Amino acid sequence: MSVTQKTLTIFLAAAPYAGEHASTAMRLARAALDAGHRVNVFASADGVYGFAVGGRAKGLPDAVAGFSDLIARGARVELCGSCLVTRGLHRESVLPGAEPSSLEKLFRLIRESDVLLTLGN
Amino acid sequence: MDTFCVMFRKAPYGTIQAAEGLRHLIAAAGTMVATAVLLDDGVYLARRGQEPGASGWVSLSGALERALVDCRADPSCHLQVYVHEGSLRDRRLDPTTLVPGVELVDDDRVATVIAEARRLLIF
Repeated sequence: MSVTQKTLTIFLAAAPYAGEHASTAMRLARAALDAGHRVNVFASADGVYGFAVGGRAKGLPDAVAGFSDLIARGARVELCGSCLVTRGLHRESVLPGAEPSSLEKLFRLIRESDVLLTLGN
Repeated sequence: MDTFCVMFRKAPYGTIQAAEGLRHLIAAAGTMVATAVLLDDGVYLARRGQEPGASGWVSLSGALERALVDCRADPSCHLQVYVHEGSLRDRRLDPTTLVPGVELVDDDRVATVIAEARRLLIF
């Protein structure tokens, strides 16, 4: 592990196609991974919709494809569990590798991170 | 001990942000030193006497007040809520209408609280 490797955590609270927050999150995460850093993404509120399988975006950044790629590249993705329940999303409704989570786990991620970014609020 | 700050910038009920911020703040207060900064329309969160009735919302000012009372009774809980007095003034809100236990702060103190927090979530 490089001595300069840092951990970036992105707290994403915006729906994927209501603005540019999800796209910005994907681009920042991709850049951080490219630079050799660790990346966590914690989606909350409408941010969890960016990880719902079955959507197909054309003509705009595809959140499902983008986040799938980030997961495949090693990004850790956690989704607010109660936010999923509120929206009727189940484990099988979200991308493989995106884990239902909790506030307790969010705070652990935050404590373990060097940088925390809030997007979408 | 880690200091975790939640910044409230949106009024309650119009969007989910204030409720989400409060949920995160209350959860954080049980595990680390938690501070809240209410500024811009976020100051409305601390206005006492909110009665959302049958709307489906809980009273967010009531929840904030309960959290402050509960935290004072629990030695392991660390919660401090700061309200930006400039935002209050801009909205002609009377500080005596706020829930008890919040602290009015000026621009410099807001900057210090944010700078001293190890982590910041914005709602």
